[in-house]
Amino acid sequence: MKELQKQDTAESGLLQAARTGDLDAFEKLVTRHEQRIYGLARRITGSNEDAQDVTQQTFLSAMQNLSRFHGKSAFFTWLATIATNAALKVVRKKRGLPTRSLDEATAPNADGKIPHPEFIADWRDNPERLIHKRETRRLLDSAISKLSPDYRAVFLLRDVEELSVRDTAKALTISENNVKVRLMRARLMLRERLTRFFGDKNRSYAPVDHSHNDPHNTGEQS
Amino acid sequence: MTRKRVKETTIGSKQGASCNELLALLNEYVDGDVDPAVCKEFENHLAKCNPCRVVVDNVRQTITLYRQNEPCKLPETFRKKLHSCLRKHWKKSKAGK
Repeated sequence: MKELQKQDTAESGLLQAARTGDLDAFEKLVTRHEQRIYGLARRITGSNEDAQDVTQQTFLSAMQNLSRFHGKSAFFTWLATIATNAALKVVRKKRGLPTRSLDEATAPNADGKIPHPEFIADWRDNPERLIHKRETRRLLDSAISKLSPDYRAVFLLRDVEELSVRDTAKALTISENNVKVRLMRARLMLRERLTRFFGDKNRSYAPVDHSHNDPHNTGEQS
Repeated sequence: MTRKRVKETTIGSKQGASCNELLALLNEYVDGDVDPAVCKEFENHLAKCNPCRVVVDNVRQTITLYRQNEPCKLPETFRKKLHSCLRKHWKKSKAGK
C-alpha cells in the first residue's frame, strides 16, 4: 500500500512537471505505462502493427490533452480509456462495423440473458502451472479473439487491468449494468472455451438442472 | 443448469437457491460483492452441487490465467520510434506556443 502511495505521489509530480513543459517528465510517464498500454491494445486488436499504431495514438493524444486530465481517475485509467477506444475503432473498421459503439439501448447483447454452461469439467491443471506451458498463450489468445470486441474490451479492462465497474463504464460510455452483463457473458464464454482445452473429461459433470430435491444428484457423469 | 425448469425461489428462501439463481449472481460472488447472507446460501449450494462448484472454479481460473498471462513485449525498435515521435511532436507544439 505504501509502495502504491509512493508511486501515486511520484506520478503526480511527473504530471505536474509535464504540464509545465517538462518533456523528460512526460517521457518518464510514457515509460511507466507504455508496456501495459501496448499489451492492452495488442489483446483488443490481436495484431502487433495495430497495437503499435494504437499505442502511438494514445500517447500523442495524452500529450495534446494533458491539460484536460484533472486527476479524477488514475493516469493509467485515463490512458487505458484512450487506448481502448482507439483499439475498438481499429477493430470495428477492419470488420466493417460502425466505428462508434452501438447505442446502448440497441446493443444486441445488453438483454441480460446468461449463456448456460455446456461443458463442465474440473481442469487438469491449475492456472499457476498452465501459465508456464508454451501452448497456453496461444489458447488464451484464440479464446479471447472469438469474443466480440465490446465483450473483449469489458473483460480486459475489468478483469485483466482491474478497473472498477464505474471506470470501465466511463471508459466505454456504457452503463454500469451493461458492464456487468457483458462481463458475465465474456467470463462464461471464455470459461466454456478454456474448459474445452483444459477440462478433464474424466471429471466432467452434466449441465442438468438439479434443484436438490434429490440429495444424491451431484451432477456427476456416469 | 437447465433451460426448461427454472426454480422460482429467491436466494435465501427456505427451499434454497437454484443453479440459475446462483448463475445470475456469479459475477458478484466471484468479485466478493455479495451480501454475506446470500454468500452463505451460495456456499451451501456449492457444497451440494458439483456442476455449479466447477463452473465457479473454472471462472476464477479463467480470470487468473488471463491476469497472469504476460502481455506481448513492446518491441524495442518500436519503443525508440515512439519516443522519437513524441519528442518531435512535443517540440513542435511548444514551438508553436
